[in-house]
Amino acid sequence: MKRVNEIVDRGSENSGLKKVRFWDGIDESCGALDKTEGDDQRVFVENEGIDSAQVDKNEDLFRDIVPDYLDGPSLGSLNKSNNIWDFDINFDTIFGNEEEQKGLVFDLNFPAHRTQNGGTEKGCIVYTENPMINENRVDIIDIASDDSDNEVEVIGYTCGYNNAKGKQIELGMPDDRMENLSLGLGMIGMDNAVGESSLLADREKRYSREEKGKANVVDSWLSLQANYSIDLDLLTDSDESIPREDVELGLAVSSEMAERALRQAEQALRTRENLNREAWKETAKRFARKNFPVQDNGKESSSLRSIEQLGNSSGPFSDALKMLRERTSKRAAQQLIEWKPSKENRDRSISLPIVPSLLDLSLKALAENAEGIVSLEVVPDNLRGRLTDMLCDIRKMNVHIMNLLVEGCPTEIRIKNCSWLTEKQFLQTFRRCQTKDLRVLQLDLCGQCMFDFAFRDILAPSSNCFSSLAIVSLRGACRLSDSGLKDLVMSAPSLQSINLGQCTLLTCNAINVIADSLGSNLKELYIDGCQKINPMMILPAFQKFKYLEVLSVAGIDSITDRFVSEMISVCGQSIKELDLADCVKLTDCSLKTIGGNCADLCSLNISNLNNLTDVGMEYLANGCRSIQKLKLCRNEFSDEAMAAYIESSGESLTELLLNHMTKVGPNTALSLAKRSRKLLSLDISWCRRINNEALGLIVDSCSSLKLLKVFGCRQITDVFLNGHSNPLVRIIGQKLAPILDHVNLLEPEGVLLHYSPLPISMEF
Amino acid sequence: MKKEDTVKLISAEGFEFVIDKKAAMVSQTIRNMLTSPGSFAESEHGEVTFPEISTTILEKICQYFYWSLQYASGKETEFHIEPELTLELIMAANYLDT
Repeated sequence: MKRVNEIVDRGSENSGLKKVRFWDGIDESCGALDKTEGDDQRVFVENEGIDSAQVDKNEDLFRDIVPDYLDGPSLGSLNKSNNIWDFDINFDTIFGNEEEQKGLVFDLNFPAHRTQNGGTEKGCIVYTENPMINENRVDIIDIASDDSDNEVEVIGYTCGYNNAKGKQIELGMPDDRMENLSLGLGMIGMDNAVGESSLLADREKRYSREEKGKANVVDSWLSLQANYSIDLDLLTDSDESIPREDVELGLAVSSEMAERALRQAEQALRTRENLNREAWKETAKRFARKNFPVQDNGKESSSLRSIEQLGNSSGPFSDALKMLRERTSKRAAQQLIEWKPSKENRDRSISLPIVPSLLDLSLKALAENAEGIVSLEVVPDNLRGRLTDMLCDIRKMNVHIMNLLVEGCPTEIRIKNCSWLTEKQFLQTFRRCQTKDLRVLQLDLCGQCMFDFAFRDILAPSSNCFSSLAIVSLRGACRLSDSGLKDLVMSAPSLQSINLGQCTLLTCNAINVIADSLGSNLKELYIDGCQKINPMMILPAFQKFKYLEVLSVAGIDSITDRFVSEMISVCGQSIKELDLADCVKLTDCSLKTIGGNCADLCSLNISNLNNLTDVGMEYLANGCRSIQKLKLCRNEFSDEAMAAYIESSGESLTELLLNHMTKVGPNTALSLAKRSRKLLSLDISWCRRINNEALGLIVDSCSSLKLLKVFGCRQITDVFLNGHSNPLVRIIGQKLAPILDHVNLLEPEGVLLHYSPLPISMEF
Repeated sequence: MKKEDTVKLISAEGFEFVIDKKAAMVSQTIRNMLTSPGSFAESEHGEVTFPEISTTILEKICQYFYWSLQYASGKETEFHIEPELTLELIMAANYLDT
């Protein structure tokens, strides 16, 4: 018998509702239970009024109604009152009418339901309608409770069925229909004693997979072989001694009793919920993110120029802006663009196929036959890196290759996707690795295998240490906490680049550890997405990072202007790459600081910062004249400001992202065409104001342009696509052209540190 | 084929492959050897020796050159690589920058 868990989304409050569907594996004609099928004999559970939090928790409450450990039908914790809660969960054999049978669906999360009075009450669904009862004889299940502690707690889960679409069913048959119910109504098992004691006792247990109901239900008491007998008994009061008999009918319950039972079950549920809530609060604290108080930037912002004064001061930006304004006063910028598509209007899609290189072809062939590789001894590091990248992409990376990579004394191990790696495999492999020459270790997406004692375990046995380790990347190590990181950092004294993106458990202690042991050696630090790090608390640590070249704090939304200014005051001289994407609290003050102190800045990412205005752009343009990679997305800079920036400081641009910059238009295009000869990659996705002529002008003038992304630019048509004269450029984002081939077009290969060489002692 | 249009590639075992210059230029390394100013022995005699590349691999490389020319002219077929050659082929292709 198969059991299938379904999550049925019934609106926002029911996001955790689980439906369990049982059907007899033999009976293939029992189709999937569809919500849309309003057939009869379907058990239908509606879940209303339960918020998702509770629903999720409730999963554990019920563990499973079909635990494997139940031999012989039994129902837990009912023995105390010496009652039997016998019920049939699967209707298939009950009704014998196979086409109409659907699986049993009931909600383990103790759903709410509408009572007959129309109110919403947590409890079981009671049966209202006259079921379509099969006249055939029913096979009934005998379910006896046993004394074991591992009893399933079945509180108020209900089975029933309706014969109309989606109707609630109530359990509470008028007496004259009793006989008919012998065909196996699911029963609500309720007992006032069931709730409290057993639930409390079992609450703390860690539920095994079976208990949680995720295991396959193979031979449990639910499987309806022949000759089970059903006892349907519903007891509400313990002092009511309903005799235990194997009755075929068993449903001697009136609707009144059912209601009482419901209420008791509800009570039980509430108590259990409260207890569980306490436990969950404790666990949640570990993962919670603090909401850091907002720093007041009031006094700083007054020192900024206002936007009206833009262009009135001196400096390259203002000059450029003035010139721009003069120019547009005579003719609109759009009219200034005189670009005609070239005469040979050839269809680019069929011209000049790009020949795949032999290296690519053979790497691909090798990757596909990766199982046969015996040794990677002769393969140099850059090729190993490309090979593992390709293997990760085609999902063939496995332990075999990893063992090959760690053989000998490797200098580089780069695996960009370690999601397949288990803890055990990781430990086994790395224990055998001689790490003394290892310079680069990249284990990205290692959430599964990177646990806190991983490095301690690896390094302990042999006299292994990461003495040459200069570059480490553990992106996505979501289980790595401060202590685990400390183990690593302590054993790798020569670290210069640490990438801890998305390591969400790390707090400021981790940064302090890094600062204390590495200090001014550290050149690159990536802590994007580490939300638990409080920026203010790591400022003291930043005093030690004097030579930091690359810093990424993207995604930490508690970063403020004050943090930026303090950080820049320490490492502003050396910083070359800053990633401040999604740090939404930043304002023009930060740009002023950056512009004022970071003359060597090569790469800046200020995506999604909508508090930045043209004023900030001016500071940036005046201060950072040699930016090569500028990544803007959804910023509010105007066309003129952007153009003025490019005019004044855009000569060194090699990569420009203007994603979703809705105001960018012809002025920018003119400036780009005029100034950015070195531009290699341009992204103008979703910039609707750049039309065919403007883009044609850009592409034809920027002769080095290799990559152009035009996603979402419906205004770009064949006029441009077939009319431009740049032979090198690859245009992505139009016409369902392949995308991924060109994604890494401009990524340099085998990069060590981005902006400086590794120290001589480590170079081989 | 006229002599001026061909180059000779010599493998580690001494086998000589005579191919079109145009084909050989697919490899950036060979192109640089043959066209750079200054007198490389290779450009003078039209011969390039590869002491680290074995014959089977060099043969496959020459096949790739011709396949590449064919592909660029529009005829797109598949270039099959036997699995046992892949590792050495990768190293050779990396060296030849092709």
